[in-house]
Amino acid sequence: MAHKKSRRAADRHRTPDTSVAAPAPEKIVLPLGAMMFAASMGAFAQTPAQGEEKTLKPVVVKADAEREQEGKNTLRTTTTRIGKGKQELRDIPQSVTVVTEKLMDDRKIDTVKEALKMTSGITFLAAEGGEEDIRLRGFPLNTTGDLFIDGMRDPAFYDRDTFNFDRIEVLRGSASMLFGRGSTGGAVNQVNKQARLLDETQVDLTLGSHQYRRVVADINVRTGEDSALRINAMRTLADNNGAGTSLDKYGFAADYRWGIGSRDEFEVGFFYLENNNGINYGLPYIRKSATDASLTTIPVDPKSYYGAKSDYNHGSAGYATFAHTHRFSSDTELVTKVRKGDFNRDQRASTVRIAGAALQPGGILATRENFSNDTVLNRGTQNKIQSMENLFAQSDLSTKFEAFGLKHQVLTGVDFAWEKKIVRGARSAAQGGVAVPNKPTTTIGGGGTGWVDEDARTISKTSEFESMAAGVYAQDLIQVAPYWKLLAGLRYDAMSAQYDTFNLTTNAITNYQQSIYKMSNRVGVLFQPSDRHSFHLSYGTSFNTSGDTYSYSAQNVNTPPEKSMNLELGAKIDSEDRRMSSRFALFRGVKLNERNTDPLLNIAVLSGKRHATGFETDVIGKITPRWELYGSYTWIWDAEIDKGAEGAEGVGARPSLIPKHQGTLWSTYQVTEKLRVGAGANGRTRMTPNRNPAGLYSDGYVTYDAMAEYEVLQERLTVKANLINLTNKFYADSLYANGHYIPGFGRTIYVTGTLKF
Amino acid sequence: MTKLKTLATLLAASVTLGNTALAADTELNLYTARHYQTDEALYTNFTARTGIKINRIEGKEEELLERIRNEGKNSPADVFITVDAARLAAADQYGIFADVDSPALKAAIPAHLHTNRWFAFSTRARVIVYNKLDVKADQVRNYEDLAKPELKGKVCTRSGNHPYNLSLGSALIQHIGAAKTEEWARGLVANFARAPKGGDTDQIKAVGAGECGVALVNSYYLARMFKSTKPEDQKAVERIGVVWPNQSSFGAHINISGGGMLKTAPHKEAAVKFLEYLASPEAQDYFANGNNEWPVVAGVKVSNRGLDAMGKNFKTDTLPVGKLADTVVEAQKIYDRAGFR
Repeated sequence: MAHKKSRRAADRHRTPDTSVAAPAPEKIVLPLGAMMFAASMGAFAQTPAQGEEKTLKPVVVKADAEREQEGKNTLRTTTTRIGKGKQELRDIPQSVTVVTEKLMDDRKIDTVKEALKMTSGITFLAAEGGEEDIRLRGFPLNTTGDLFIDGMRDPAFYDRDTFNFDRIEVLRGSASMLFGRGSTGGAVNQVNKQARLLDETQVDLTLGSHQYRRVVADINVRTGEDSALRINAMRTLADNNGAGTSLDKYGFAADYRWGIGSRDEFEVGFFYLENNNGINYGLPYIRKSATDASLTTIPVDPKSYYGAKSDYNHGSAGYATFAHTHRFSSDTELVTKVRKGDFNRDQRASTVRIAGAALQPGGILATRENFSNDTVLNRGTQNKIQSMENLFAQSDLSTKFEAFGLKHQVLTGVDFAWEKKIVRGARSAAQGGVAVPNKPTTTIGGGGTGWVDEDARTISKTSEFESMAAGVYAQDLIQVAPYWKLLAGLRYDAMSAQYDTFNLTTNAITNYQQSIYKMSNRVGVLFQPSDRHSFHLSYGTSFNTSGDTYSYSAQNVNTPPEKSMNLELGAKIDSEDRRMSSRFALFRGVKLNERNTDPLLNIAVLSGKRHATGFETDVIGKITPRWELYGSYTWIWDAEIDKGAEGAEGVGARPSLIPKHQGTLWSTYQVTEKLRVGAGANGRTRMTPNRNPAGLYSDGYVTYDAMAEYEVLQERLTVKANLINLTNKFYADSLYANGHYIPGFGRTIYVTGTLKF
Repeated sequence: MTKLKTLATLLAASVTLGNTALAADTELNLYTARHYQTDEALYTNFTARTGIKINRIEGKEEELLERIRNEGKNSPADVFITVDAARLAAADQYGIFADVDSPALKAAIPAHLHTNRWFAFSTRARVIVYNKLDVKADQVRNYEDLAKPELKGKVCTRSGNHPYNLSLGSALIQHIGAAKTEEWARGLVANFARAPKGGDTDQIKAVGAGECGVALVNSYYLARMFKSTKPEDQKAVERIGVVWPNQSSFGAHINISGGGMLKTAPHKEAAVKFLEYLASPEAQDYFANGNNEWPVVAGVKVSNRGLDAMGKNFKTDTLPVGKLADTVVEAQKIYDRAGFR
């Protein structure tokens, strides 16, 4: 009882800081004296009764002081570089979600694709040729070049690994004003790890299901007063990634910075990733029954693989970057970057389909009802060999100043891009190549058997795309009144591209050329009544050229760019103790003039229109010092093709790959000082594959993950166990029309030891 | 030697216990102003090693001290741990600490870091940070340099009433005298970029952002930010330089985390054991690293990349920290006269 009384007394005297209470100036300001005075008065009032037992219940009464975060120990962040130059998230009048390295580590995420599942509103298209696309708010991302690394385009097709990423930032809604062509759904910025001014080494070793082995080393060395070197290396092997694809990859990245934080700072970076992975190109749909021709997924384990043994997905991604930052002052800096990249992809895949009745047991049509281990599968060939080279240069000036009594925050810059993509294909025997036999059939029970000699194929160039592009932009964020900021930006783009196709039979070359000149804009109003609240209303535009997919055809080469706009009303609110951040947005994205093929003229005309209207929210941070939460949810209640060509995905239809509800949740709790546990879920409601095949839906799903982490040695050694998809839920993750779908990872277990020194 | 040491410890413990505890203590009541994640391991290890269970109350420094005072002789507290030498000295002036005659403790902890009644278990330094674009390191090699007119409009610090600044002022009085300290305080105030506000982390961020050219901050805040991967923290520490002050004179001012056994402790044997445990190499690592501080026991080294980022070779003030309390009131008066509030 005495303790309760005393605690109340203490509470009454609680001060907001650790500083000694500051008495009134007219009384002598002596902290010690004040302390003694306060204490003695308290003692006089609260002296316990004689004979009271001197015991203390074994209860820990925690102070409410925040445990300071450090290291990789945070899910929450307040700044971003996604909008050219470093900016406060609250000053960007668009929705931005940041997937931190902590979240990627907590949920055992190795690939950018999996990392993007940590934000809602993102779906995946298993595109033809294995060129998987990412859809954000239903609009394409990857095929339109909306992936970036450190603010520079990363358009090549390769399986991206997260080993060298510090975080991944997702900006939603049209933003060509910042990024140039593309960005209708938004943009994804992958932020590479940078050298830092301290000595730090971390090695992660993971063992998991399906012979999964992964080691990642992250070595940072301070080489001088203002210089540092960081090296990251990765090696991963697995028989199966949980969704039918074997893994064999390694990566290496180095970053050296000097003059860090000084007037002139320099940086050179090098990145190389090599994938020698397998490829589960997808699983087939099957008829529901002999009388019901509608399609459904096949009832197999998510890790199932039915491609040929000779299938593979090899590739490499390499780039070198040089950057110079000149700081005119603490508020004004000019950042210039040049990057040269070289990317290759050699995909030999099987299109797996349910074989016709003639090949099935007893000559009976295979359906979901009679589906068994004896059901026979055909494997077609889907090979894609391509390379991309690019050279990017950009210079961004950021500054703050006052003019005419108003505070300005200006971002302006120029950028240049040269890109070249070559696609290669195999010559048939008639084209002077080798007749490689068709892959043999297999059965559900037989799995990924069969082999063909992929090396025997004669590979030749089938197309070549080359483009030059330049852009200039300026944006001003003006404090127009207390609490009110106005943002306005303009960008002008010029692009010239040409595309050649090579006919392997006739050797004829067909050439297409296109030039684009386009203006984009973004305007926004921010209302920031406190440093914890920011509300915005913004409007931005974007444009997509016919050449965004690095190819042209006679149908689209002369078609002007599509135009889109994003209207957004949003809020970013931090809790009073700054532990929690939340983001809310009502948005409407509209593609104003979508390309559609005119059936009479057989050319693409800008006759289409589609929109998506929805609500998004993110809640990220600490509910208590021990309880951390990350949640992201999107509700797109209204999405429709307003104008379009006749067809399945036509007027009035909800566009494909847009679920109504989608979300992800992750929460961890520090049970003891050494033990932390976490659990989470990912899910979405049903959606249709691209082309909206009649009656075909990808069912909704929820998967659950769990984690437990134990710190064996303080700040030196931790052991973590991750259980992914603990119910082994089968769900179609990436969809391709009525052809196939790639499942999400089935149940997998990983144990990771992390050593820091 | 070890046996002798153990014998001495036991003898000291039995003397300290007096008539209050004849049987071995099985629990310990700890009042601590520290609340770091690593402390849990510290307590768990102690229990594993001794079988003594730790019940603890965590709170803010002044609250805990007040609570001990309120509870008087019926206080269940055995050990009180807090930060800042002046606070410990103030607690000592209340008469709450008992003499601890532990040869083990006195042998392990350097003389200038303990008295007979309270002991330092870790140290932190008050260093100078400067904006690389605005100030040169040579301009701020010493605390005294912060009062130079050339830094007008560039200096930031937290409140002069805060124990960290009072301890520094107290040390300066003892090194350069009261008159020069007052002159320094007046120069410091004249150089302020803004009125003192916020904590040390706020000063570091303000220097990084260019709002301030130079600031006084404690080392553990800096170490924490060097280790942070938050983009905003990284940006701040990359823009600043760190100076270990007064390397050619008395060295960088240091302060401490420490504690002592209460006179009214019901478990005196356990209390002494616990204090001795805190001076053990294993506990030193946890105790110091938990708050990015340095251990006090000679020969114990911590591997802390945040601290190492500030430099490894530096000279610290060897003024006995117990003496800081002697002039802290005078330091407060000087600050008041100088307008350093």
